[in-house]
Amino acid sequence: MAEFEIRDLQARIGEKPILQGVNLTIERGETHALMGPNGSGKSTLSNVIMGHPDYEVTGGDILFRGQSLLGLPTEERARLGVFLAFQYPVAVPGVSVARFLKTAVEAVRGKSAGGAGGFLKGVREQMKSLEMTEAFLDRGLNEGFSGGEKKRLEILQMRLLKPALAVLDETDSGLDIDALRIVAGGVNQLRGSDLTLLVITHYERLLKLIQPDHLHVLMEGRIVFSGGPEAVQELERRGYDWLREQAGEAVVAG
Amino acid sequence: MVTIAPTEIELPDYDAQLLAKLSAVAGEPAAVRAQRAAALALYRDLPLPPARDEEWRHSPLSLFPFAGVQLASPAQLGAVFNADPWDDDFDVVIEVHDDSFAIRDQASLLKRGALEILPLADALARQLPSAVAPTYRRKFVALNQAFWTAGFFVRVISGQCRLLLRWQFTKTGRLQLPRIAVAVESGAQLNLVERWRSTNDGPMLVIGAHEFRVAPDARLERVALHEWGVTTACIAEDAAVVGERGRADWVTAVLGGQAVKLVAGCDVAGRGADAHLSGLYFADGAQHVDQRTVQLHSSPDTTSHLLYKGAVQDRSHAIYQGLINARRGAVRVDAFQMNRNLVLNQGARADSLPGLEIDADDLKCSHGSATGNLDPEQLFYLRARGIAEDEARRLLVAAFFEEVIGKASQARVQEHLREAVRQKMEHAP
Repeated sequence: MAEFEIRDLQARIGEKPILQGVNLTIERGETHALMGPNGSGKSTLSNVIMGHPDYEVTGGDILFRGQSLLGLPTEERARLGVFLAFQYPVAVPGVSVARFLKTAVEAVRGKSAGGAGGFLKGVREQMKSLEMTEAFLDRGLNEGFSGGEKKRLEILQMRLLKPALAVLDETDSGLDIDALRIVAGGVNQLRGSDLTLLVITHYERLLKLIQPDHLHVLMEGRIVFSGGPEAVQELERRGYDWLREQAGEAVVAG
Repeated sequence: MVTIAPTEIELPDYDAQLLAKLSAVAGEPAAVRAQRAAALALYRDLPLPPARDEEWRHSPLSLFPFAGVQLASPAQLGAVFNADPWDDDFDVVIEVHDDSFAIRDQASLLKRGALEILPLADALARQLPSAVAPTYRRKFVALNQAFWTAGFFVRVISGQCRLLLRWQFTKTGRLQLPRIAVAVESGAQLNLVERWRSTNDGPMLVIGAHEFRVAPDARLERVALHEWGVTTACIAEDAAVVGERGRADWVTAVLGGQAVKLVAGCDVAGRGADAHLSGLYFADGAQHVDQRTVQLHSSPDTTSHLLYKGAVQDRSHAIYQGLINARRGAVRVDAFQMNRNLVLNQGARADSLPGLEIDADDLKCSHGSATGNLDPEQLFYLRARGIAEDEARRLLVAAFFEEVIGKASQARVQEHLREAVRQKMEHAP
């Protein structure tokens, strides 16, 4: 059984179909990259995996360890070990980062044995590795955060929640090269047989730092290309146009 | 949208005979009787607000159980003081329990002459100049000034005073008319917390009137906690006048009561005066909460900042009406007014009616309002971190109110408000 499998997934927002039969299988511990031009459905896919209420799944299935996620509320998916690093983490003024982290970790992993003190000690250690200062903890969640701060906080959450499957949705967007290196480093430290990764990105530069085992290209709601890590260079060199032509031919041929 | 039909109701006959009985029981001197009589004449002279009245059209008088209540006995000094854990955070405590009151001078401020507290009758008998704010031509203020059943005059002469005023009404079928007059003298500071509570056993009506005078360079922080029982209705008006460079901070929290209609008016009357009005309200069940604020700028170089935040759930209804009024010649005024409402389910309703009345130029004045349910993107984000939907909702509602809760300076008050919001969310549908 594959760790994560998407089968012929179709989804729409309102009346507009976006995903039109996505197939993707990821074995445990693998890192897959998903690329594609703007509007191809990448963010829709990540939202549908997490169960965003605006999207309606009209066909297909999403299986995590053989279990369908589709009937489950968002929080149940998170508790099973599915994590989404948001492209645009929303600000929640009035909820401090410390309070949020504690509530989230307790919801997913249960109350920690070390009490509040032990919990905060663990958080501080993780923050150090992401070069975050302690002042973060007292701030309103994502309130007035820079792009880099938001993404670091996403990765901090990932490190604390220890998911089995993480979807990184354009984690590189809005990051300068130093912040990118820190964030990628924070992800790479977690890689291993316990973490299955789906890295959604627009740019090759993230994939130089988080090297995938497989690469897929999403276009107009379908995976139109799958290849090994060497395909990253090819895409960088040739762009998406040749795939678009190929996909067009495939549609004609089909 | 539900519209309430205009209701003609007749109020009981509050007359000179009733007033004479009240004054006789209280044993009041002629000077006090005369002032009550003058207020009664004004009350009888003023018409009832018509059903179409801008201020009353959302809250018909039929919401208030005038017919089911009788005038309470005047409060007398009682022998017993019932201590409360809150008392520890204050210098002086006034406790009013139905028709008896007690005062505890825990930090000897009264003894040292830094503070004066008088039963209102004594203050009126001595005609203390600062005891009574100007008479407002307001129907229910006049009723209160005629028939007040418990009243205090508080004057902070020097230094800082932390005063707790605990009101507790338990006798059903009573009309209570509490009244306080507060003066904070130049350079002094008063931190006043008022807790208003009542039991749930039957109809009660409270008609309150509060007057505050903040002298030049004086400072008033006042927190009013309306935690009435579900069978109590309340109409109350608070009026403050802030002198030169004075500052008033008000936090009004409405959590309880069947029908509550409040007016909070603050006149930043002296050059450099500054007022901060904050409101927190959370209505559930069939509660009706109607609040009106007035930020009156009668002098140049004055500032006022208002933030009212409310939530409604079940079948409750909240109304907020705000007015910024800058008088002619009030230049270089900075006034801000913001009302935000959370409507937590269909069937609950929040109306927001901000307003400006500007007779001056050269001023900065802004207002706004927003009403809606919780942000679905915030909910999704929290749920994506494993937080169950109802817990996520509780977190977001708590977060919504945190901004106004932070306006109260005392940690005990803040924690109390947080807990009150939590309790309300426990009963979320």
